[in-house]
Amino acid sequence: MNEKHRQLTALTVSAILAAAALATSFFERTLTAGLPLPPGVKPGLSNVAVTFACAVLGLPYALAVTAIKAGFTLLTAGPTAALLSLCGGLLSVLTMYLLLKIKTGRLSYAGVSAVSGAMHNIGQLAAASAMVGSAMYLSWLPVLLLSGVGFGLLTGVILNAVMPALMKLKWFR
Amino acid sequence: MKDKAGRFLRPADLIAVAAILLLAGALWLLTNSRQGETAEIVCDREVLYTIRLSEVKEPYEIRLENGITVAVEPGAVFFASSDCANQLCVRTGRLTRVGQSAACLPHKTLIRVTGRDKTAPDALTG
Repeated sequence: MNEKHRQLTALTVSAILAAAALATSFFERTLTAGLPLPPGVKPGLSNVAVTFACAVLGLPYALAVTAIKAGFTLLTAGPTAALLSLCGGLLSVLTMYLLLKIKTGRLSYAGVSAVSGAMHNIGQLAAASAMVGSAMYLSWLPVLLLSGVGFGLLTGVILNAVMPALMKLKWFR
Repeated sequence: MKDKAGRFLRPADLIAVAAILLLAGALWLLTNSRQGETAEIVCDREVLYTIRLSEVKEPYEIRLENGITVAVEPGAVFFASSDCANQLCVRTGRLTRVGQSAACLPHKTLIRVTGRDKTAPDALTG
């Protein structure tokens, strides 16, 4: 596979991943709409797509998927939610990238996803604090860390399960 | 990649998770342990109201100009209603302990519970 072909494949796959992320977000929102989830607590299943992009395609593609997710939030939930989504997403992707890059070989996708899930919530909280000009929700952070880690672990376990199968595809080699 | 197959969790994953949970637990103890004394309503970075929660006898409501209603009760404060879309502020619920806060981001409005006076010590020992 030459370089151009590789780039084209990455572009196409990241577009598919972005679409999958949006569809998952939407599905998740419908699924959790009736549940009395505490503020900020979300499964974040679309991070399966983001983590996949980060692991297989690289940081720029993962950032692009995150930006598209935030754009979708802007359209469906307004600027406040979009900014939170973007800040959380960026911090989460960068964490993910670093953890995948240092390749300690110790953390599996479950660990990477759990840590970046927690960072996602920290990023959102930082953005919220900046918006109201006060270190708010610090008391709420434990709850968010708990949910970030828990759901991150869940999406990571999904990745652990599907990655071996996906890596067999000719595309990614 | 191969070593990741067939194994959902590794020891290092659990250590990472445990570390974050420990942090969460410590933060929880740090921030949610003391009964709140004072509540502040902040709008656009400006403190509009300061309420001594211990002096509240009867529940009442404060209507803000931006369409938000804050409820005050003996020892507690919370967003009673808001005209914003997501209602996260209302769903945050009652704030009773030092360090707790809730915000309506679309309206840049925050309520937070603090200790007595920030300058006064909690306790003195001889």
